[in-house]
Amino acid sequence: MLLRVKNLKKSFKENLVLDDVSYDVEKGEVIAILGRSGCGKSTLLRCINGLEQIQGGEIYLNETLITKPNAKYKHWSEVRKKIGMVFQSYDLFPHMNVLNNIILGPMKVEKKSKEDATKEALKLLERVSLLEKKLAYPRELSGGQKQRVAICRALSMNPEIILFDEVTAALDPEMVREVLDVIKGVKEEGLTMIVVTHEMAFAEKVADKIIFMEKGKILEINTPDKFFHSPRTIEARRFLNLDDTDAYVL
Amino acid sequence: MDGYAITIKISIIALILSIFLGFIIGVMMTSKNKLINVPLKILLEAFRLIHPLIWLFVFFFGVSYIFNIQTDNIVISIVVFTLWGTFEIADLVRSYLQSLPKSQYESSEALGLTKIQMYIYVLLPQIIIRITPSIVNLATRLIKTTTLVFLIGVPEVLKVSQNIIQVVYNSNPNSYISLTMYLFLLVIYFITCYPLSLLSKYLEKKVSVL
Repeated sequence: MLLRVKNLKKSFKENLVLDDVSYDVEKGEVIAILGRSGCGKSTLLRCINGLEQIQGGEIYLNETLITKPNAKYKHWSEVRKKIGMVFQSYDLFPHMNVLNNIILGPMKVEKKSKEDATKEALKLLERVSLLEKKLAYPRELSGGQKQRVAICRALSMNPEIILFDEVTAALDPEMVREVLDVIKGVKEEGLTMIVVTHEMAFAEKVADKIIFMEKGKILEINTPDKFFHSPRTIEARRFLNLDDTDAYVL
Repeated sequence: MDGYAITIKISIIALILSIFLGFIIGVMMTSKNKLINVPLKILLEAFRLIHPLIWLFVFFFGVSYIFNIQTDNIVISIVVFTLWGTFEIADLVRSYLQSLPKSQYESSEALGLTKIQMYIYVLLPQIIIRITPSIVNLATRLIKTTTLVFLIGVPEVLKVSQNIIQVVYNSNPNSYISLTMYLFLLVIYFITCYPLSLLSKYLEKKVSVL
């Protein structure tokens, strides 16, 4: 079991945002987390790499606990070498060009040499068709290009899991396409991914498992096929607008 | 002219030390740790509200009283102005650091960078361009304020010129020496500070285009 989340509890002040959340992720799986805004899906993601603190429960990576400092992981920065994340707002470093954005992590965190890191970075850039932009600065790129660079940056650390937090939410439809294609490519390499998204069609095509959340609880875990066409729970049906009877109230 | 050299010497040393220490303290001030934050804030306000002149006297008389030694006035001036400059710069650094979007902090951490690495490679480079006009401004104020060191006996430019005026007056009461001297002073200060002011305006323009 690559990642195990057990009984996670998280509150913001008095608000219970994650209520006893548990699930497992196997190596090579692609999981899509769906749900309304505010249901806790982004928070769940951010708990996995330590950007949010939890008030209860545990998370295990390769059977080793990561939510408390221990012999294997003394600090979250060591966990984050194995768990990468791509954000909705790309967050590239504006004072560095594309290439330097990508090699910073490998050089400073993994202590790779500049040549090795650069070689890897150029390979990644080529995979996302952005090689000619290697010396450009973030402000010269479009949203879709920036997001593709952000994905390269996360990939450059060779993580075991990558978390995607609504990465296409701020993009135009045509840019959404190019980013989703990259993510599909990443899946083909066998990388484990957890994707929080609103793009239903994408989730249906790419995910191996759908986790549906509402109000901080996981309501349903299912295969995309079953989830999108015949979900088990009423809330899921409502979320997907599957019942026409609700639609017209006169 | 020696007086001038001393003014400049004190200013430059104080400035360099202030920049170095100020950045360190500024980063420390962004810490959420109350034990670090609160005492530093108090020190900051102390050096800001109380004019460096008063601190000069405090240090000058205080040090010789407590340690019972005769200290070099120049060293005291440097210490006082360094402290003043350090806290001014620290506050600038802190406020610019806090103005950076939180997402820069988060994406650095998500990459696995340690806090120190994050500050050195991601955060501080981003504020250096923006902070430079303010630092040039501070440098100007520093130079002007170092005039005060003459009050603790350092033969600084104002005092020296006053001496010159005195001497010349004694031998030739009719000369316009005082006017000439003060005009000379005016010119020296202008020549020093105006380029700095221009530099500051130029940098501000560059920064606002970013």
